[in-house]
Amino acid sequence: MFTQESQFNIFRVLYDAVVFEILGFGFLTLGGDRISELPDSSRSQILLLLTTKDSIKTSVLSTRWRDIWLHVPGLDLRVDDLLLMFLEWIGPSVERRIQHLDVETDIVSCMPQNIYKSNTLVSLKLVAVGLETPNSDVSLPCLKIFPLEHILYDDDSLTLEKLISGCSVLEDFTMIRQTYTPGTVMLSLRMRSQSLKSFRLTFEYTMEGADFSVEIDAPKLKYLSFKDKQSDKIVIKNLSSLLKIDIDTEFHAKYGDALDPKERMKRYTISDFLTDICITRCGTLSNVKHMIISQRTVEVCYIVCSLSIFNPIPIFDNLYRLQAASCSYMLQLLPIFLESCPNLKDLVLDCFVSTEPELTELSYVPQCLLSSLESFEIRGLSMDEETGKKLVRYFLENSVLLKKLILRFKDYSIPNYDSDILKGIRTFTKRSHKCQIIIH
Amino acid sequence: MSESNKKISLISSEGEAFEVSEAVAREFEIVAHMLEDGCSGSSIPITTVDSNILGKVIEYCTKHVEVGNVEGNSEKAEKDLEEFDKRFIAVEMNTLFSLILAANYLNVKGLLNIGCQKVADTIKDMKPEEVRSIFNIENDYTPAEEEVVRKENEWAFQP
Repeated sequence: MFTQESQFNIFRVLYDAVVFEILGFGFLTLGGDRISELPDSSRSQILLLLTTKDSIKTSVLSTRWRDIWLHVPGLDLRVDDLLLMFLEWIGPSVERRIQHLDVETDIVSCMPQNIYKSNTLVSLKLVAVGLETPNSDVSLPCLKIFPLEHILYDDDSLTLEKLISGCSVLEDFTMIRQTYTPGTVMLSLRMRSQSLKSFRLTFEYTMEGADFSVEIDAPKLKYLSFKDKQSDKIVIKNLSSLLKIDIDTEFHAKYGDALDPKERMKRYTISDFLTDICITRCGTLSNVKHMIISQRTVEVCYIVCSLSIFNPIPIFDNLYRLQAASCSYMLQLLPIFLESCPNLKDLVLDCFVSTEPELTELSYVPQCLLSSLESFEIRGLSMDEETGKKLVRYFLENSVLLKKLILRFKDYSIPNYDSDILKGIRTFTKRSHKCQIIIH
Repeated sequence: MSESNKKISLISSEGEAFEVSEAVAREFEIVAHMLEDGCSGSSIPITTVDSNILGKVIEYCTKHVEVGNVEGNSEKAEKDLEEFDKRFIAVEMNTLFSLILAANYLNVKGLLNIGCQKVADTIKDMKPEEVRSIFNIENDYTPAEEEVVRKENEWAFQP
């Protein structure tokens, strides 16, 4: 006979069965609308096996079918020839319950106006679609993540301004600007947001004769990636929260331009920009701790700031990690640039080292080598070049606290333990005895 | 008596007893859970499933357990099983829905999958009117309401 436990379990089966019947799944009767009586989970399992188009079509069967397709955990939309139909579909879906939407097309086609109003959207990624100017206020109260890539606009400045002002909790915004199409590239980009934490701007196109400007006002911004080859007027306000910046811009100034008197205004822009990053308008020191800076930007900064008596490179007091790219002839100026980072702990140098011109001996020793630098990594070394050796020697001989020296050679030139370069390196005097040399 | 030879009686809604091996009974996840919970009884009532359907579900599970026990030539066995599934699920609509309901309730995943697939294959490429008539679905929308639903996703209704 049954044990007590098994009786309990049998009662459970009986109980389940009763509930099952009460809920209307009485399948002991024959005839009638059997399919609608299936539990929602089975019906959505059936719809999952259909194409999305067939699945949506079931909404019209009867009121019991209206929303089942929305519970199906997957959609298989192919946005090619179905694009227009898809755009029609997307509007109501966005309003109803979609939280994450990612639209990527090759064919530029305008998104419907419904996209500007949704109480559910949390992330919205649009790639290569058209955006019309919103014809009323934008309301995306839950939207946090919003990448816009290669978008074609009717009126870009206005659209963007309306969009940003309608996203009250936006945290992560990416904008990859469309290459030039007449009438569709905004000349002035204004990014003002009280909630924004991360902003990535990429503007690849370089066009002569047009004045582009960027203004960023985002007091909560923690991460800024600024890769803009085009804009020459850059105004940054309120970056007191900024912790990390990845910068690749030449302020539209070419190498050699900087000494031309006509370019003087640009010098101010550049040094203002750097000052903005390091010292906010209110005069307090900024918190930037981690900076990634491209070779192009390093060059422009050197040329414009280090050679100017009035606008020297500002001091990055809080910077502890710097990743900079530099070519051989710029390395000469490295100690001067490092002088601006008195508390630097971690330096990564992407070298584009070539044999010519060879680095002359570096003599000036900036503060950070004496009092803070703990890790130095050189990437892209080549074993038969003197420049690399000199650089390694300079850091080994002058860094008081260095714990780690990491050498990453170019793929084809990884040296053996017994190679001349490594033998040479091992003979260099180490000012910091704790320093460990790691080779990749 | 060894574990594998242990017999369990499943009792249909009509009170008919189906004696099966424990391995087959365990294909019903609901039963497997009961056994794991310590139920040592030898007869389990399945009151929501009638003899006809319970017999079929047992047939399905028995076949799958048998094939699962054979070692070696797995490719051929898989093909045979596919063939079996195909023949097994080729039933009239009423039986099909009873099987899906029973599989859903007893939690026999494989059977639930082939049942749902069979329904999906039937619906595929059909107009809503055809789906309604095949499955006896009563359209309780007013014409105006139906128009609204169609409008919402107009593209899906275009040929």
